[in-house]
Amino acid sequence: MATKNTVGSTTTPKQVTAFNEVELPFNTHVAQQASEWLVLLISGTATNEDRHAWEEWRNADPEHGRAWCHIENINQRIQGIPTDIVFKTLAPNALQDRRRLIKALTVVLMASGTGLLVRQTAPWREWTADYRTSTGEQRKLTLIDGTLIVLNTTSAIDVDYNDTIRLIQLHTGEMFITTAQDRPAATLMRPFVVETAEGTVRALGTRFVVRQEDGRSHVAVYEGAVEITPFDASNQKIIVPAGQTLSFTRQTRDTFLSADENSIAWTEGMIVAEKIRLGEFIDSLRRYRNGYLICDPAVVNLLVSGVFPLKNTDSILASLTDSLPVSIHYRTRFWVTVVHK
Amino acid sequence: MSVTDTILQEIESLYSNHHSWLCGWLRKKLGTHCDAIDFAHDTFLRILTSRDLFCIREPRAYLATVAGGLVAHHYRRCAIEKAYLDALTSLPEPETPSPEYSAILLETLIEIDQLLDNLPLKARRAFLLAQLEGLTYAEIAQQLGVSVSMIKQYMLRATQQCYFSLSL
Repeated sequence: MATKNTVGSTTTPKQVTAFNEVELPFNTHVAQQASEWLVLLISGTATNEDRHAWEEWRNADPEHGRAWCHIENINQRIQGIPTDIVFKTLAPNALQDRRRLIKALTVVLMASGTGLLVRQTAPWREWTADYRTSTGEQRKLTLIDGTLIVLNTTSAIDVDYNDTIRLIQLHTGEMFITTAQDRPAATLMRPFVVETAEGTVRALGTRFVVRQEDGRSHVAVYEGAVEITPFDASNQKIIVPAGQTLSFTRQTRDTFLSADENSIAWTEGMIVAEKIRLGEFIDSLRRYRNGYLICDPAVVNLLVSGVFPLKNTDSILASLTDSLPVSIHYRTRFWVTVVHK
Repeated sequence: MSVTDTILQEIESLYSNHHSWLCGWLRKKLGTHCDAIDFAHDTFLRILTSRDLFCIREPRAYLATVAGGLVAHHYRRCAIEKAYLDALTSLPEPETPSPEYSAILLETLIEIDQLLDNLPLKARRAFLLAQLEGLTYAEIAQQLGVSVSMIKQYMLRATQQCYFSLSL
């Protein structure tokens, strides 16, 4: 990426902040660099090398990180508004053009008021995915056949429906699926298949969760059943019945465990804890927020119970201090430690 | 004499010498007396809270600039509000936001509009298409009928202005 050579001590005039916080102005050079990175990263042609270079830039100097947070804060505001409304009010003529270009497979955004406010920051991962969520965001989609999908935090999927198959590729994160019967009038039902890095999960009329983890996939079935085919053991088809969960790699599978309704509370924007270790709770919370969240080893074995709304993880942390002998230490907004009181 | 005293004195003389002229100027522009008085009031309020007082050379030109900006902002706000209400009525029933959320949306829209203020229409559209629709620059270029390198220029300009108030 080309960077400008204007190293100067000048600062940008006025910072518009997303939260009306008083924010120190940015060095013009840093502001220009951050802008250039953003323009590169959202171009649709950024490579993995570009993204690595951007991460290095962002980590090279706290000011770079701060400028990037500033961008993300404003993006959060911009992306929190239903797209149609933004175009109709701020760039009226763009709407018809835009309609023409949208892919044939249209997804209806279930724009429930609060759901939109759940958006946290712009996603800088899985750039090419059809649908994605940023950290802390949940998003509901209704596909053209009526299948309902809820994407959890930091997730990305591609949707590929054709004449013979309804295929969803899960690139990262977690999705909850309630399949619909395919085209009632059709003589031939197209199978509904989710593909992960490790294999395929075929729905047999069902409600289920698929999560992409590091090097493995996790499936939990709540209704009906699914059929799993690991890529490197394609002769080995595994049926997961309702009420069961299974993790698998490209070659192997774990043992069945029972599926817990609490673990899909995120589809309603909640997290439910029933006497679970604080360390584990913080691990799950970490998926929903940016930056560092660390739990002091001295408190990891305390037990947590409760139902918490995910839309504000800061207030979840704050509420922990009411019931547990812990305090929350904010080094920055993005660097938080849970310590013994 | 303290700085505050000087500022107060400046504002006082600005007010007594030019307030009725400003009201007249606004009345001609707006066509109504009441609005003119309101805008004149806002103009002085704006000047009082800014720190540019010492450098006023041409008081009437300065007043007209500030007042004109306020009027333009007001009209822009009304236009957005109207477009927004129209957009809302076209939403299907279950997606209609609550009144509170609706008010938040409108304020946010106005903020975004100000962030993108003075950008050429194509730059504004390019920015929104990239940020909201996740379209690639090639797709945007095709849609707006300009080259990909032009889209990059638009994006850089929009980004610098929107996030950092830098103008090229």
